[in-house]
Amino acid sequence: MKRVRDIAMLLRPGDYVVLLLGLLLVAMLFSARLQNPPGQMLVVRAKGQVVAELPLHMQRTLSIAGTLGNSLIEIVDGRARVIGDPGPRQICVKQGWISRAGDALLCLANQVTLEIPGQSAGYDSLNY
Amino acid sequence: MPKREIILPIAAEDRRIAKLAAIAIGLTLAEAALPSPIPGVKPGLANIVILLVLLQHGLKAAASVSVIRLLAGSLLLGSFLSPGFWLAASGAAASLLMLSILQYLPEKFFGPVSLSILTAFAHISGQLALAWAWLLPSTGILALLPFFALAALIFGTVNGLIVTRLIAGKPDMGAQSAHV
Repeated sequence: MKRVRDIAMLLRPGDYVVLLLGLLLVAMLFSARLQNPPGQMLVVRAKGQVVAELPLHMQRTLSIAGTLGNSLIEIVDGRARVIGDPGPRQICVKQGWISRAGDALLCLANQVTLEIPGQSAGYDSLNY
Repeated sequence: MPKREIILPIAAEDRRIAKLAAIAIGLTLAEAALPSPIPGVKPGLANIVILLVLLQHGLKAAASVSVIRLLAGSLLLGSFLSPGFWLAASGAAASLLMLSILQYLPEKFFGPVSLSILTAFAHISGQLALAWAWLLPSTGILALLPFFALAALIFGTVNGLIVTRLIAGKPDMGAQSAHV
């Protein structure tokens, strides 16, 4: 309890407001994200150019040439991931699978990006 | 030919900034060696130094330390002019812009914790804005936003508490505060 009081001593009234607003913002961002539906397509870019657009329901692996070398991409069961990347920090590999509209994987060093675009009403072929 | 001598006088101010920048660079390097639980998320320990410098020596000194840290840190880590460097640079620029506004907040109500949290949010905003404009011009980047925002809130709060503690522990240093 003494610890909690020690920390409270360090805060000023406005700090609580900022903390609360920060928490609210983070909660809003997370809840907005969870409402995203599963995606249909995977858009792959290399050096800013679209190099492949693939349906997520088709299982396949492909190799994409970036600035450093090839990034290896896998699509299985409506999800996509990067299996191998020449980047030094392997961030996009460690991020694992993406499946929802709005999800993305960025292999920054190799300038390869994977993205599942959000559905827009204009391309809905089932509803008029 | 007349002999020309160029003398660059070193003021006490220069030494102080060099010393503070060295600490910030040290923290940057230490942090780079830490394994990160979430890719791309770092605690931003160097921000503790930059915030302290702002509160004790003003915005100009804080900006100097930030720029020196950015350049020297990236040279030492080998990321100078890489995409990661530009992301760090845009984050630092957004942070400094935010601090330049925040220094006018009433000190009575808003402590270092507020400055730290808001600057952390500015930092990720700057980084994600560049990533969005340059690397992924679409909505895709938004998927990463909640995680970066959560990290900014947590580390911003912790760093702010550390700064408050450090300032409280050294009231004599706080005496030359340039915080208006």
